[in-house]
Amino acid sequence: MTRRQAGPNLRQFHLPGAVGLNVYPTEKFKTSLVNITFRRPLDGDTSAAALVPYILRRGTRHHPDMVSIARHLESLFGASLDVDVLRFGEQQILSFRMDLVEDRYLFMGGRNLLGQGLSLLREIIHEPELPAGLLRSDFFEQERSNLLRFVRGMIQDKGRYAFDRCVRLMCIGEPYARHEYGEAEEIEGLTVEAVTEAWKRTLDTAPIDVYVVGSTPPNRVRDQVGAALEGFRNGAEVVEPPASVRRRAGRTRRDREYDDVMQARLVMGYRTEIGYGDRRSVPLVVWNTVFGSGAYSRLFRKVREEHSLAYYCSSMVDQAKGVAFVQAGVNESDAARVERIVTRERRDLARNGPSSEELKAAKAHLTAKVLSITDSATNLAGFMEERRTTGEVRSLQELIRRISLVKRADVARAGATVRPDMVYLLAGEPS
Amino acid sequence: MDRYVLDSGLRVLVHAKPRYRRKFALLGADYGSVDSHFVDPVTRKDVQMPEGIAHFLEHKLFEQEGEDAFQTFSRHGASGNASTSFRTTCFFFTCSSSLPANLRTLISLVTRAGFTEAAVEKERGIIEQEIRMYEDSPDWRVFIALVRGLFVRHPVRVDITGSTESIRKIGFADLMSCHRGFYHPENLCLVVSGDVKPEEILRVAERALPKPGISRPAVRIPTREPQRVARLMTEERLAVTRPSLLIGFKDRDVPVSGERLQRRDALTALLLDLMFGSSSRTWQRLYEEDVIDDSFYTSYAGEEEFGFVTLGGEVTDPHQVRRRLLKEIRRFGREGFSTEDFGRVVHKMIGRFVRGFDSLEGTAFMLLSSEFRGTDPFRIPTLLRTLTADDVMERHAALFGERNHATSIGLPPL
Repeated sequence: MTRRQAGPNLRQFHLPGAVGLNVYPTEKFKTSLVNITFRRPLDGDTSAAALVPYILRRGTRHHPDMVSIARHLESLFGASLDVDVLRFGEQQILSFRMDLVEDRYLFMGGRNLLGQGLSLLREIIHEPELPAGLLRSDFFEQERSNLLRFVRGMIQDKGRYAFDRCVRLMCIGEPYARHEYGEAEEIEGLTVEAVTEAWKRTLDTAPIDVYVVGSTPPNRVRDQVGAALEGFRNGAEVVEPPASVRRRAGRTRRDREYDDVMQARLVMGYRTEIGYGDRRSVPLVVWNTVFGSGAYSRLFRKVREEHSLAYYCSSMVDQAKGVAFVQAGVNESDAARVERIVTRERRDLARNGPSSEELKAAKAHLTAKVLSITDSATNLAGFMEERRTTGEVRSLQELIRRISLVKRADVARAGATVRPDMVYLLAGEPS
Repeated sequence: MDRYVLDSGLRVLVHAKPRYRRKFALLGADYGSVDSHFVDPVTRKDVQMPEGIAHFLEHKLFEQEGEDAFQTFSRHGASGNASTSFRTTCFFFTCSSSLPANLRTLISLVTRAGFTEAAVEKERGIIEQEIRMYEDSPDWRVFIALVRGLFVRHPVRVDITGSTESIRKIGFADLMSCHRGFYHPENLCLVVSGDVKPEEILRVAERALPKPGISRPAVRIPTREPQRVARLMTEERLAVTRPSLLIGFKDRDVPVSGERLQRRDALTALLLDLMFGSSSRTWQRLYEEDVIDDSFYTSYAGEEEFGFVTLGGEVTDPHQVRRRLLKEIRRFGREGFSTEDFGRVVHKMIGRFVRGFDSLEGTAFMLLSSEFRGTDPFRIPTLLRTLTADDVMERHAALFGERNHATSIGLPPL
C-alpha cells in the first residue's frame, strides 16, 4: 500500500487489486460523498455493461427490492444513491455514488454514516441475489426494456440528438462513435447470461477508482473502503482500457438530416491534436473559453448579440479524444450564415489570437471556475477523477498558475490545431 | 442569515458561508409571468400586457448602455445570468473576486433600464429562437398543455416566454411601464451568500441604487379563478417515441400566505413522498408491474394565488395508466400509511433541508422565495416535527378531488 501527497489536501492510496482511492478531507460541507467507478473500453460489451448498474440497484441479498433499499437510505438520514453510465473519451465509466449527511450534523454523533453507506454500496455492487448463478431475470427483463426505451427516446431531445449524430458521422469506425449505453439493437439482443458475465468481468478486470470527499480522516477512509471492497477481485488480471486514439481531420464532410423540428440544429465537429498532458492543453482550454464557452465568448457575442441569429451558440472541447464541437439552434435559412461567422471567428483567433481584454476575461473566468471547485463536493470528486484518469498530476493551485501563464500567442497556436472535420445540420422536413 | 431593509425599501439578505471561495449574489424582483395585469403607478391606468413581457424585460435589462451585462460580469471575473418564472424574475452572478464591482453591475442593470428602443427590435430574434427551442421539447409542451387544462383564466396558464406572435406586440413603452411598476426597490430583494461581510454589501448597495423617485410599485389586479378546470383532457401528437402522460390537480387551498402557505407546502411534499416516493409500496408496485419507469415524477408548484400537483411520465398506455394512478390516489386516501413510514419520510426531509445549505445558489434562491412569500425558512425542521399523520390525510382530502384534475397526453406521430 502506498500513498503520495498531491496538493495540500488531496490524498491518493493504491489499494490491493488495482483500486485507486482518492480522498479529499474537508469539513466544509454538511454532506460527504463517495463515488465508486469502474472503467471499461467502449466495445461490443458496452450495452451489457451499461445494464449492470441498473440491475444491481434493484436489490441485494439483504435488501431484495428497491423499496427496502430506499427505506434503508431514508434511515441513513435521507442518503442518496445514484448509479450512472458515463463516458470518458473512448472509455465507459460505471459509477455508483452516495451522498450522506455528515455525522456531526446528526442529533447524536458517532453513527459512522460513511461506513454504513460503504457497506450498502458493497452490497449493491457485489452482493446481488443470484438465483441459479445469474442476476435476477425479472430485473434483467425490465431494466433492458427501460434502457431500450430510454435509448430510443433520446431522439426527443433535438439538440442532444443532433450532437450525437454529428459525433457518430464524424467518428465513424472509431470507438468514440459508440454511445455509452451501446446501440438499441445490441440492448435488444442481450441475455441475462451475457449481462451476468459482463458484471463478473467488470468486477474482476476493470480498474476501480474510489473518490471520497468528507471529514473522515483519510486513513480511516482507506480502511473502510478497503474493507468494503474486500473480495471484489477474483484474482484475474486487471485490464487497463485502451487509451483514446487521436486522428487528424480530413476534408470537411457535410451531412444534413431531416426531422420534425421547429428549430434547425447546427453542429460543427473539429479535430485537435492536443490532449491531456500536452503543454498546449491549458492554452486550448483558454482558446475554448474565448471562442465559444460562456457569455464573453466570440460566438455568443457575434452570433447571438450582434446578429440575433441564435439563442445559444457555443463550443466545447473533449481533450480525452482530441475533438471539439460548435452547437447552435438556428433558423434553417440562417444556418449557412452562422457557419460562416463561426469559421471566420475561428480563423481570426488562430491567426491573431484573442485581444488582451478577451484573454483577461477568459483567464478570470477559468480561475474563478477552478477556485470554485473547492466549494462543492461533487466538483471536488470530479476534479479528482479528471486528475486520476488523465494522469496529469496537478493541484488546483498548479492549474491556476498554468492558466495565468497563458499568452495570446499560445491561444492562437492552440486554436490553429483545431481543424474542421464535419458539418451537420438537423433541419425541418423538406417541403 | 442577516436581514436588512435599506431606506429605499430594498431588502438585503446575507447568508455567510465561511471558507467558501465563491460568492453568489441574486437580485430578485417580485414579478413574474403571471403579473401581466396591473394598475400603472404613473398613469393610474389599468393595463393588460402582452404575453411573455416579464421574460422579454429580463432579456432587455441584461443589456445596459449598449453592453451586454454578460460581458460586464465577465470582465470582472464573474459569470452572470437571469431567469424568469411564473412568480419571480431573478438576476444573478457568481464570482470569486471583485464582489463590489459585480454587485454594482447587478444593482445598476436591474434598477436602471438602460436599453434602447432599437435594441428591443433586435432582441425579438433571439427570444424567437429561444421559444422555438422550447417548442421542440415535447416535455415542455405536454406540461404547458396541462397547465392550460387546469386553469381557466389565471395567467399561470400562459407560457412564460410568450409566443412568437405575442412577443411581436411588446413595445419599448410597455417594457418601461413594467419596469417602473415592478422594479421599484420595495419590490426587490438582494441575497448574497458566501464568505462575505454584510457591511460591505450594504455600503455598495446603498450607493449603487438610483435616487428614489416619487413613484410607487404597481398594484397587481388579481384574477378570479374558478375552482373547475378548463379542460379535462388534452391530447396532442408530438415528436415523442412513447406516449407522455401528465395528470394535474388544481389546489383549492388558495389564496393563502405566510405560515399557512409554508404549512401547506410542507404537507404537500410529505404527502407526495408518502404516496409516490421511491420508498412507498405504491411506487414499488407500479414500477414492478411496468406501469411506470424512471421517468415518473411528482411535483408541486405552489404560490399564494395558485397551486397544482403534477404527476406522470412516459408510459405505454396513457389512458390505462391515468385510470390506475387515479385509483392509487383514492386508495391512499382510504388506506393511509404507517407511523413508521411517516417518521422515516420526515427524517429524510429534515436531512434534505440540512443538505440544501451546501449549495450557495440553492440557499440564495430558497431565501429569496421565502422572503417574497413572507415565510421563515429556518422554521421548516420544527414545522416538520409538528405535523401529524392526520394533517397529511386532511391535505390529501383537500387536494385530490374528483373534479379538480386535468390530464395532458403527448402521443407519437401517426
